[in-house]
Amino acid sequence: MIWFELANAGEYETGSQLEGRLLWTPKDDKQPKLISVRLNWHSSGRGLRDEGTAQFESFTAPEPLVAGQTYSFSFRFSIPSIGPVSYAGRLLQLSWQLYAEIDLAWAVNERLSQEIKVVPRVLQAQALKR
Amino acid sequence: MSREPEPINPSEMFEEFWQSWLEPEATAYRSEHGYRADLKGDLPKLPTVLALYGLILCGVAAWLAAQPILLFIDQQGIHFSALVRVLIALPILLYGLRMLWANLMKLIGYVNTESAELILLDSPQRLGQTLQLSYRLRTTGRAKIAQVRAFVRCVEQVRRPRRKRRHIIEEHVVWEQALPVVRQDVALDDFSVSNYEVLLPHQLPPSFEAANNKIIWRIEIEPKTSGLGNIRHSYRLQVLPEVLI
Repeated sequence: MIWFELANAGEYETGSQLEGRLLWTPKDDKQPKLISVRLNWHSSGRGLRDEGTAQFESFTAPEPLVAGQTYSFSFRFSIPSIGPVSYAGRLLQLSWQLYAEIDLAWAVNERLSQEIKVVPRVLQAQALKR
Repeated sequence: MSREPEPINPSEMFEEFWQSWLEPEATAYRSEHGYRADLKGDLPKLPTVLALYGLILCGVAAWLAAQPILLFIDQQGIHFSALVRVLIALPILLYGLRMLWANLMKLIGYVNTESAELILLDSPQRLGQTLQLSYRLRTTGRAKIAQVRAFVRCVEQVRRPRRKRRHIIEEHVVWEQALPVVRQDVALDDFSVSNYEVLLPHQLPPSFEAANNKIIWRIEIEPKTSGLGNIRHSYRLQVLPEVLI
């Protein structure tokens, strides 16, 4: 079983940090080939799909692995300051996901995807003038 | 004034093609007064012959479009008199002529534009910011400038497949605002300066550009001149994913 724990769940401003942990409880003691977490965006709607990976982090599992024990992998991603921001329009939708994959040899990989909302950064007009 | 979007219709899409060909969007560079975009100077140097070939093709395409309809009627065993056949083909021919005329007017408009420039106080823009701009137009002297209308539009643009190996561009206007004129000086017949101000609403999306999907912020300016073609200038704004409060 895998799941995310995010430091500040909710909305993330462009240019902000997304911190969290990937938690994994393996069913058996089989060592995974790769544990990865990505921060992806993609488009959907009427047009052809566009997508991008903003950040990627990979981990190696501790050895030996104990089945039923929960392991934690911390990550810290920067939301790009240029966006895109999450958007739901008529022809176009833009969404962000945190995506984790545990690549297991000779077994079905464990995958998890969690949507996050990216919003424009709020600036004080006064601070900008200075 | 914001408005609800209208459905895309194919003839608008065809005209969109002409617009994109004749009215490329200029880029701004920093000058002493702000950010200056030369709208006239960024027009492609179109060989006139090529442009005219394009116009003639519109008419020929309309005539060709009429032929399958006439053929279909013949195959049905219905024999109309020559007059009826002409009446059936007439709307398509008229549409072709309208396209020819509209594009000819555009071409004449550009030829008669001596200079057109847009000056932005700030660039790039942010949501929640007041956009201040100035538009200066000088014609060759044969056109009299009556009024300059300007709009700012936020548009979703997607590229989607259509049949094999073909794609079409579809647009949807998310927000549109006619720019209120702060000051307009039509001092001489052939020279005009218009100043505008508009608040970019903070709840709208910022600019976005990927291979197939875009959110475009555009300033469109339509000067009304007497008798010497239609001019329309377009400038693509860059709106950052930042909100000013």
